[in-house]
Amino acid sequence: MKLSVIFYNIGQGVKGIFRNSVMTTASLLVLIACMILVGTFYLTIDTIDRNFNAIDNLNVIEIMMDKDYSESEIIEIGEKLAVICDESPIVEWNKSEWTQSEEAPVPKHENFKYISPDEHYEIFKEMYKGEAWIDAFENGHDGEHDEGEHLGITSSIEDNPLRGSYRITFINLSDFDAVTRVKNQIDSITLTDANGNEYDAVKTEDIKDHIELYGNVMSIKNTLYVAGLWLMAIFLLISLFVIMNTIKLGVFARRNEIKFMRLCGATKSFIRMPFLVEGVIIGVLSAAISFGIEYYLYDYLLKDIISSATGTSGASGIISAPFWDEYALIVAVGFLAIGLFAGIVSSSISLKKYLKA
Amino acid sequence: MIKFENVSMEYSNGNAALSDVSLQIDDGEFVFLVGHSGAGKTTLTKLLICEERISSGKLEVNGFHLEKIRSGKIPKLRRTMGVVFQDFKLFDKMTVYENVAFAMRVVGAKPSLIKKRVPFFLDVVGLGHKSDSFPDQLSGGEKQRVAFARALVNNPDTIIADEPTGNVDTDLTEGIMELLVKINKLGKTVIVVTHDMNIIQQYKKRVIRIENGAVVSDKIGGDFEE
Repeated sequence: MKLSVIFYNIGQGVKGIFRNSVMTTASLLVLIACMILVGTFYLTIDTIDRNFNAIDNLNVIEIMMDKDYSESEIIEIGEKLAVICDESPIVEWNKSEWTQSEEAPVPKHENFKYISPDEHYEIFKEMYKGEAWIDAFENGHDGEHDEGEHLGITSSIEDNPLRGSYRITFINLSDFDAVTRVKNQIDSITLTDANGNEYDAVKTEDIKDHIELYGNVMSIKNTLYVAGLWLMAIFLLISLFVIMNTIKLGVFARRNEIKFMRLCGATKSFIRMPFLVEGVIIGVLSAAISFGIEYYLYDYLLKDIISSATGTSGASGIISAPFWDEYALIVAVGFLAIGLFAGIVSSSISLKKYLKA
Repeated sequence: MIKFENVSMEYSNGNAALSDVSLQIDDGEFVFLVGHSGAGKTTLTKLLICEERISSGKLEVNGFHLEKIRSGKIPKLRRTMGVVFQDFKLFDKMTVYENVAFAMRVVGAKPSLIKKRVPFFLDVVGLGHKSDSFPDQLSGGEKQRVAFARALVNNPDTIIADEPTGNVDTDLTEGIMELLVKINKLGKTVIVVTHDMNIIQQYKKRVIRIENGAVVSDKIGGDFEE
């Protein structure tokens, strides 16, 4: 197509925008609402997803062993835990990958580990590495820095107050009910003492997990996901309908021109182009405005909403929202795609009747 | 050349608009197409510009075989014809110049060519001095002449004029007919659809009469009886 023809049709498309300014504004507003809705749902869900992946131990149940348990009791609990997990779909492992050594008397697997008190101590040390009080504690110096004592840490590793624990990592995070079932099974593990009496081997308070938080977040995420999809579909349909009517008004106003163009020998693409341009302008303009609004919403509002909805504080570090820059490209491309889709589809449908040869 | 071979056309409701029409109009001919309202004249012209499709038979128009033409080729067929409508179909918001230029723009003509040809054809129809006027500032005869300029500007092989004198005063009729003769002398085939027996008898051209969708007479001269 010649450049002059393209410019002529773009000009006609721009004129079309102003010809029905009220309907054009309505189209813009509905499409913007649709995009912001889709964008906000996407950002919320993705932020939650990212946090899921980023938070350590969210998919972990840690079963703390009593300080007084013997090695055989710990091993026996481990075996019972392994049986529970083995029967559950939420833990995937290949038993041939299990290792057993003198240092780790119980079966060990990437997703099923026994962490001894000493290992806990090493992890703890690593976590607070560089802090004055932990260094002082390490060096046996308790002069001015006695924060270690304040936290219940005594003077040396021989007096390590930390307990051993089994750490089970779940693979299948989506089956929340199965996770809860496993947790209940773990809670009911019993052992038999020398006299043949059964006793509760795992106390409820010794099962540490984030299942409740996980459940809350999952529930919010699923609700948002379903609601988002429905609202997106509804708003997209409304957008298509409004843009179609906007363009139909333009087509109707120019119906004589269109008829004349056809009889003169104008091609379908030539007749279609100004209306296509009109639809594309509405789409692109909506995308640009929505992008700006979404940026504001995300940076100033959404982060706070996510934090309060999950019952956590952004400052605590449990839930944090990624920088806008990480989303800018995908949001821009997504909005542009929605805008172009709505603009092109609605203008094509609006013209169909008038393009019959 | 336009050639109808046993052409019939039925509407979707089963009503026959044309039945078994056979005729030939050679290049450069001047033809009057006459008949009562509903006789099939309009259908015949619609078939020529492929606004309606034939139901059976063969129809060749300026090298295009319309019984098997693909929709993508229809614009090319239509560019070989200029149609002048009874109600002129001028655009009120466009000037005379813009109305004529529009016909060129929609077929993708270059702006430089538009600037050259539009004034030329406005001069041919004697309206060079009215190029900046709007249609509502023109008389009926002037509007008709703008419509002729617009039909001519893409240099078609055939001009179809639907009741060209139907909306103009009697004293302007002769001017319009002179213009059509002038166009015919430029080598264009001219088909005039009309009810006006006076001009038919005055101009002694070929007259094709259609009644009830069939050609009932086809002869040259003014001894035509309605």
